[in-house]
Amino acid sequence: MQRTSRTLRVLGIESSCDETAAAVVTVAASRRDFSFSVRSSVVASQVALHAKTGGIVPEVAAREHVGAIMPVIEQALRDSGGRRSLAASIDAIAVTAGPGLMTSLAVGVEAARSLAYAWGKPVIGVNHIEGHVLSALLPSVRHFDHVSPRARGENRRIRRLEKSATKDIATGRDLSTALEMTRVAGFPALALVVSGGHTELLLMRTWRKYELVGATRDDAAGEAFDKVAKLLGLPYPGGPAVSQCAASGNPAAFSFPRPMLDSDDFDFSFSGLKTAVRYALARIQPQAAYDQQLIADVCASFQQAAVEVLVAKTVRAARSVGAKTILLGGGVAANRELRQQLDAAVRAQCPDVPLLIPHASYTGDNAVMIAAAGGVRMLIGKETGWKKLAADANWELGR
Amino acid sequence: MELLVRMEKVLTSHSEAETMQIAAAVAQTLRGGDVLLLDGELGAGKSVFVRGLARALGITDRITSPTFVLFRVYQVKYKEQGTRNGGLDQEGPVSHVRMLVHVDAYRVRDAQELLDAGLGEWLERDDTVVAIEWGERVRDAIPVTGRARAVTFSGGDSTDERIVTVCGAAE
Repeated sequence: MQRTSRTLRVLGIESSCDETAAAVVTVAASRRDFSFSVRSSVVASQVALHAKTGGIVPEVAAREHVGAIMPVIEQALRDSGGRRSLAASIDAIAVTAGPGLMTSLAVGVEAARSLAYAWGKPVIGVNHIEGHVLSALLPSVRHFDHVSPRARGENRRIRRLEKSATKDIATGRDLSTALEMTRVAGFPALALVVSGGHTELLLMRTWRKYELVGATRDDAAGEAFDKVAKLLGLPYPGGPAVSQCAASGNPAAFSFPRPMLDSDDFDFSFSGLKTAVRYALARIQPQAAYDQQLIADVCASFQQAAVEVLVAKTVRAARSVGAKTILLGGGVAANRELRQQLDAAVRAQCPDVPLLIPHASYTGDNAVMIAAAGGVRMLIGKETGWKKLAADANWELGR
Repeated sequence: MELLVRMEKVLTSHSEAETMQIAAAVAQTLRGGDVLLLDGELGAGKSVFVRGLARALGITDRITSPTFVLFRVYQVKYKEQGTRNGGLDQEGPVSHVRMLVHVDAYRVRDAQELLDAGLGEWLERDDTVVAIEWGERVRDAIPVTGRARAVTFSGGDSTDERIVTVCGAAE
């Protein structure tokens, strides 16, 4: 860790899946820790586009990224209130280099390489999952008040500075407010990253040091939500659709399996759960259209099964590794039941361990988390350099 | 591309374990350059089949869903295979298969998207077996070096029973 306090103003770029995003974040290294100040965040989402096809079409996604990438970067630089030259207002560039869809990743990576070359700036390739891990440490984190006295002291260091709102260029809606905070993450930290492409438990020994503690053996949790939504004829993306329907359903209506709940490891499996939902649907109403209550009950029961396994394994892993902080991240972290049930379980079973949950706007893919992760790595280590920077669709963190 | 339809085997599986056994039997007949086209509904057993192939080839890695990244590449491990499936050794029928590529074609509109994403280089190799879920969607436009073979899964709506049809399983 640096002895002196240093800061980097980092342009983050993210295009691994179906969001094109750019952000400017000031990352400051102090003696023991890092703080992040969000200057701007712009996300162009393709969700509406892919909803029509019921999922991401890779070629369409890549073409959309190509069209959106420069306007999104320019908007993020302008929003950040930099000096007159956009290039001069940042110190470094961080870009998601993997994992993700190769054709989508390549768009962000090539943009970052070109800018780094043209502007003579350092550039670093960031692992998307590391971004999700750090997202709970980002400003405007929702902090549950059951934290230990020590952590509560740290919590007071959170400062909130209202700044200009950031906007979603697809809808023009405000995404979140730029806030500033400093907090100390207690290491080792255990992170549960759950999204459409990932379900992983990662142990963070310290900044940059990750070990994979557990992962799905087949489908990601978010993928199971998408597939169940498809079986029920609900729209894409499946996560929000299923959880919305689940709100009026009975989570005990169906007894779906809790895959690998009692296994000795910290792995997950969601493929069989999706198949169980399919059986249940075929058994109950082979022909007729599903009525609203049935859909709600199936959604609620499925969600409960998935959430229960995620929560139980996370808490068990946290106790087993002696985690001092539990972090939640990824698109499925937006799921209310997961947030609430994880919070309740942590309260009951590891009352001294703070649980940090990202602000809703940082659960989905965004570039703030990428700028933050890249900034940390550049402050402790080295840049990748534009010559070496390349997308890696299967990059695994902590393996 | 033409499918080998001369030989067709219809098998019944009652469990994941049996589906994996069927896959293991198919694995014995694989040659580098072969493409397996796997078709069947959600939950019909396509992924389980690929896991069975992988295990039979000595691959111990997690065989996670390729849906998000389109395809995943696994290296075949011979030493483990020799000890695991006694009788299969370096000289075994699949000894020239070095890589297994697990593809999900569900989200692509045509084969070109898979090629753009980098699948082309694996399809060209004569030491690689490519298993494509939802293969029906891309079979006409996938360049195949070796043999193309279809494995279809049906049934399974209300029980664990699956009918697995393997085309071109033997010559």
